[in-house]
Amino acid sequence: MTIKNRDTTDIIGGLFLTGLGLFFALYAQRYNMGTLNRMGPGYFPVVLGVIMALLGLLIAIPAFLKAGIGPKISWKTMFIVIGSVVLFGLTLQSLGLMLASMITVVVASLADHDTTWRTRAFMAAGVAPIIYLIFIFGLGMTIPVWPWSY
Amino acid sequence: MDIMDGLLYGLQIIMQPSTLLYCFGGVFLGTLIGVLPGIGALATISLLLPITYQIPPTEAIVMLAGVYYGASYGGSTASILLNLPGTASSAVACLDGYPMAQKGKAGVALFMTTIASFFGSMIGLFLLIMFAPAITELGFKFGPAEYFSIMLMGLIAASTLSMGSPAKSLAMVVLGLLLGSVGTDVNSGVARFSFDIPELTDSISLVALAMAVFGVSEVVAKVNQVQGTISKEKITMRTMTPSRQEFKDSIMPMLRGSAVGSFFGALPGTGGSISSFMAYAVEKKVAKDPSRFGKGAIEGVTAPESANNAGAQTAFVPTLTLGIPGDATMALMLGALMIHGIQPGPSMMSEQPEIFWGLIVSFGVGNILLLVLNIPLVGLWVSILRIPYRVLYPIILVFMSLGVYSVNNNTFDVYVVAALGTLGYFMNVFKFPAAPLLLGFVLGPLVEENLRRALLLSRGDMMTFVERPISASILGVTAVLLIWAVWSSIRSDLKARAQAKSSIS
Repeated sequence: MTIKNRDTTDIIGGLFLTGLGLFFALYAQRYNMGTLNRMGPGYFPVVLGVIMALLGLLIAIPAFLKAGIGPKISWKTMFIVIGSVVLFGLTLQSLGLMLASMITVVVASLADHDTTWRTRAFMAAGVAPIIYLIFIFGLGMTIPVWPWSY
Repeated sequence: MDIMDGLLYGLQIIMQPSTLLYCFGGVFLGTLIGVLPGIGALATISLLLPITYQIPPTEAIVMLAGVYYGASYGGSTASILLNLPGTASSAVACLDGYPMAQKGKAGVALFMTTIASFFGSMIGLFLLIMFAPAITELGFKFGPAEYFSIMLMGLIAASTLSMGSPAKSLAMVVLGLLLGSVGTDVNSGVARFSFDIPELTDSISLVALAMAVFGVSEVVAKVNQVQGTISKEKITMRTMTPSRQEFKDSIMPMLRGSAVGSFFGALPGTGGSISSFMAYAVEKKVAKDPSRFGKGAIEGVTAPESANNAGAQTAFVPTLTLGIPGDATMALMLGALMIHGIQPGPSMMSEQPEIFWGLIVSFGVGNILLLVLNIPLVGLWVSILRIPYRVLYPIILVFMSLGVYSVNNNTFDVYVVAALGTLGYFMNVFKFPAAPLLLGFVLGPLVEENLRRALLLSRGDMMTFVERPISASILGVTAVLLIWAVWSSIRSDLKARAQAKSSIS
């Protein structure tokens, strides 16, 4: 069996968990462990970190011995979608609710291959009144609506 | 307060116009999101959580519960018409529901799933009413050791009984527990894993976590996936009416399905999908002619559908009586209650009777509303199914971002959603389930607190967990679950390897 058709999904996933578990266990060393009788803040995370590291190995080791398909990551979709959420956070305070929502909708819609610019404009125009009605009018949220509403 | 008084009291609560309105809103929204593939009850409830800050606790919880069981009504619609499950628990409805639609029996299938859903819900609700007071009594006998053991059982059951690799689910439970430990430790005041970020000393927001792993990561995974096409067939009252034979053939399966669903629903740690698969398997076992399954057998639709609805009702048993959520959705409901300063548990029935009984009676009212709504509104659900996902998801993203912002009026939580959403997407790609993560996250602080307290009481003696009879028997069941999981995963590994070998040679 070549490395190519091994179960790389589980190998990477398992090893990542082992790393993450070790990180939690080692980082938590800085907190007081305490005793079983009186556990300190470090006890629970250290034990859990070790358990997670072991589970990671339990997933990764058998995966070296069996065939499988590698992970398929849609980097572009991920960056656009996650980016649109970050963009919302960045623009909300400065540009206000309406513009931030419209920008987020337009940017997020770039992730889909089939969406046309006409649909995008339509969605951006549609989202603003819905958001306004629900969050400002309905729930009475206090948040700048437009860039000039301060 | 005995059961009859409780029910009458609950009826007074639910009959107030505002409660009734929220109940209606909840079940309507629940059906809607159940119908739409790609938005589950979990994502919707996490979306609504911030909104519930603004309304009174009874109304809030009645609405969220309505979304939960309403979604289990609508969930099968997309399965039947598109061969695409609306919610995870209705994936099994694709097996026979879609073949029925292809044979021109879509209307009958939709009608019968509504009936089966109602039937299952009523049985589940009846059992909930019967057993909740008794389990509450039992709950008063629980000390920290028992609480720790039963939560451990819930967490292990959630990972071993779910689909896919138990090791992966267990790892996600542990990751959830670890994420739950982020923030200030109650006993010592130490800020754990806060990395000197002031917002993190306040622990990770449940809303942000839920939206990230169930909302954002789902969106990333679903964009650009091919959508099914819906048949042009008109669904009218006439095409919906089942024949007398079809109706008769469904009664026993609905009973069996409800029994299976009620059992798995009440068990902490198992959710709707496992109960509907089990109900399907049971039907196949008892059928005279199992070869009909997968080709449009009506009992393949009605049994699982009653099962997941019965389970949706009995899932409230451990949540309301012991304060231990049975599945990820229940974990969110628990979170919603805690937001309002209500700690579900044995004392809830006596201390918050308006919520306890109001909620229970609202299930009855909500299910009747669903029955009345669903049959005439089938046409509406069908047309909603035609909205393409590419129009929905950008709007969903804005709702999620704004919703999470509104909880603390803080953009930090929006960035938490982005960060955890990335984690959630990688979990999806590497095939790690998200539900155990959320369950671990919500239970984490409770597990730790009870573990610490139990050991403090026993002066550090671990034997306390096996010396106390209730705790010992719960741990016994947990051990059996674990051994079974290990054995079955080794067996499936060996099978996979044997298959791989035979395909190479």
